[in-house]
Amino acid sequence: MWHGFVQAFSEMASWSVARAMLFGILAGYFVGATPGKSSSIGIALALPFTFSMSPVASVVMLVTLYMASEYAGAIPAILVNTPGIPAAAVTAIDGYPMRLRGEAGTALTLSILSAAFASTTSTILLIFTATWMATVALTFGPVEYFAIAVLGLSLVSSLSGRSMLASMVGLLFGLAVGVIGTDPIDGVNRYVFTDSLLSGVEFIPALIGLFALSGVFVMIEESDLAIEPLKELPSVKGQFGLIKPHFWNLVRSTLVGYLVSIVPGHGATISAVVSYAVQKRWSRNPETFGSGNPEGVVASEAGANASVPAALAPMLALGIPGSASTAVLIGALTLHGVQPGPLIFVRTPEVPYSIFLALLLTMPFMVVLGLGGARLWVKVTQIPRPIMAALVTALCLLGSYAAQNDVFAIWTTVFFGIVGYILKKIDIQPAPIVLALVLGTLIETNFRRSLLSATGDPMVFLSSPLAAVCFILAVCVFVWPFVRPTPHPSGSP
Amino acid sequence: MNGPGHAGFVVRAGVVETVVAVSLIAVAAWLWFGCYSFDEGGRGLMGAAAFPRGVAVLLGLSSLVLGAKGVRQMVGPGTDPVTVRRPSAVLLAAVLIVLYPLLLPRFGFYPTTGVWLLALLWCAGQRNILWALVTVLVFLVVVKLVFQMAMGIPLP
Repeated sequence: MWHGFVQAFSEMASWSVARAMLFGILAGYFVGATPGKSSSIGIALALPFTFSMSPVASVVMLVTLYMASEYAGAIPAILVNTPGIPAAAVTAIDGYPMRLRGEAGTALTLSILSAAFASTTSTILLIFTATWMATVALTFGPVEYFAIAVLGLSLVSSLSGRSMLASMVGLLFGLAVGVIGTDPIDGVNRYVFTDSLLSGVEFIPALIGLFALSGVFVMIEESDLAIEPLKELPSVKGQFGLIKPHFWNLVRSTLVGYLVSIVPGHGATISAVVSYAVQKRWSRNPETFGSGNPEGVVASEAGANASVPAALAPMLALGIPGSASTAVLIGALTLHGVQPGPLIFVRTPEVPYSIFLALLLTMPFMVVLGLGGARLWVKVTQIPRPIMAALVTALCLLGSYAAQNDVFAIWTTVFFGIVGYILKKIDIQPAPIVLALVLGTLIETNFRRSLLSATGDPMVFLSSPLAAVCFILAVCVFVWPFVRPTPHPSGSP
Repeated sequence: MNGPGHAGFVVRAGVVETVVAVSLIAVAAWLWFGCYSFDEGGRGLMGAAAFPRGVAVLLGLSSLVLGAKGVRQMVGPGTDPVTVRRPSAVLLAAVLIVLYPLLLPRFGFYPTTGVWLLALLWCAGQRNILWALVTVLVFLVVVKLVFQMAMGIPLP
């Protein structure tokens, strides 16, 4: 291992790599903070710039871009309730209400410090566990994937607002939307009334509609109210102090995010959702989640950012992508003649160890940019409400168009924006709908694949011990909110 | 437009819940009957229709429960009402938002967005025309520089 680090360090000690890292950070911030742009799109856009670079410089640039964009998605999520990347939608649940209370600076500070802690810890975990954990994940079949997805779906009970019935209705509505498109197994068209729906309802435009555009209507309702004055942000030293009460939340959410994302296909969004739900379980004030509880911001940001190094584990050790972004990264490495997989540590050790070093070295720069930027970004909250409402609307529609380069994406956003606004009025929140959109295809595909592999025998779902454990856990997770003791009204334990 | 002193449009939560429940039951029925167009039959739970049918049944049942709760609230003692502040502004904004994707392909991005954003700013309560014009101009310049030139996104 140490030999690999020495080799990587000697390769990285050049201005070209330093420039690549700086460009990656800035481009990542830019991509993440732009609604409608996912980190995978950012990596794909930056790929042509790496053609003339060395493999190490190019992978450093793309990995730092990936990392920075996963963090920066929280900035518009907190400030204007428009997630820059899908995973930041979970951050918006509590981050935006905090901003409405004049605590945008605190929310932004918590988000960057959570991201820094989670990313660094997760990178250390990656260095020591990459090969072993990815090998375990490779043994998973459709039964295990189905069971894990069911466990994820059971988290709806944690995401429910005041009414479990409302959350269930939202979840089922999300699953209903998710079946539109070409069937993942047989290839037949289901409920496709226009060619734009052949690949299903696109996730990013739906997400922008549910979270951001639905919120615009609320902004217009309240556009005649005075702006909440900004609360004073402490000095930089004080900013670090804001994260101290959340230490165990950070540790828990980082571990959850890492474990969830090491399974291929479970990206930052699922990690953020699961970490948020787990923290809500542990919290002494679960009833305040969704109305600006800082614990929610910390949990979702730690979960989402822990997923970046975790998703690299199956890519490096097995050559299979852990997320959409790592799928693009694999393409980039292949372009430079580097083949991800077990032999990467033998044939080109400088590449994986450069990735480890880049992940560790990028973080201090990101913290400086994040803490400094928090003072600058909060000024956005002082823009008059009517101007903000109109700009967010325009940004939503433009962002959804940019995600697909198709006007139909705008229709998707408009539909989900109006539906989301009406549903919010009766306490059906966007989070269960998004959970269903993320997990619906995963559940159906693996359910049917499991049955096909067992020629229709439903006992196949009990054939795997891991799956059985997941099913039992899913029942416990779902039932727990109904049986847990009612919290004290004061919020004290 | 309604001012700060206006309570806005108020309706009992039960009415909204009932309307949403009926709409979702219609979605469930669409899912159920839509299956017949692609159901190959004989494949049971392995077929393309199994999952949508399961979702349709569960969505229909949960919507029925939601509808029953809504009706009970309508006839029973009052619960928290649903309030829409500045309803005419919200309705006008919804109309403008629906109009945008209709007008965009016909008139192109910059003319459509310029006029549409001005109308939306007025609808949201921005009465200072100079500020509104500056906002529109800055937005369009940023879009040109960031989305079109830096990211290379082709705008209609």
